[in-house]
Amino acid sequence: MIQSYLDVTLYHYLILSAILFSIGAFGLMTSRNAVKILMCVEIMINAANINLVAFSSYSSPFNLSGQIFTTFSIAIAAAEAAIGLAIFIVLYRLYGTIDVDEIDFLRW
Amino acid sequence: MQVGSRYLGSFVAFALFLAFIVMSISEMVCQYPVKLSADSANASTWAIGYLIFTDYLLAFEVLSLVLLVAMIGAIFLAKKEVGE
Repeated sequence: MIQSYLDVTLYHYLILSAILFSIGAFGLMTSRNAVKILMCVEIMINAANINLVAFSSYSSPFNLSGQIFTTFSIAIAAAEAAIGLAIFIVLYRLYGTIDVDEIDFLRW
Repeated sequence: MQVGSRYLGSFVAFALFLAFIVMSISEMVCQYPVKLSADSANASTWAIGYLIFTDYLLAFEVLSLVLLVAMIGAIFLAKKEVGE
């Protein structure tokens, strides 16, 4: 198999996933807004989904279990985002802010 | 927000990124192209849909229940109280 630089290998997917995951982790560690944190968590979930599809298609190209698993994972992420936004609405009603530095009632 | 926490966060995120890159490059087994294009025999949305409604039907139905429960929970959490 002749390989050129234009071929998309598993490396490209892994590097894209690493970039996305690092952006998500950076936002998760530095942002104070709860909605921003939820968006960064979604970016990290998407990085994991890219890894799932890439490894599935690499290890067994004619077996679609990884892609179906990723479809289910996206649906779970949607449910998580909905619940998270509802929790933020309740937090805003209770505390008047969604700054995660102010909301420290789970801190021991 | 504090300036130091952003510097620390960017440093940790960059270290994480370097660790991921080193881990994924150091395995020299994955240098052949991945067939993710639509011209490979089974990789089509038709095949994915067929598998979802045959082999993975139970998981699909359970997932629909999960989404329903999440929707009901979100509405319950976000609705205004009756007295307000």
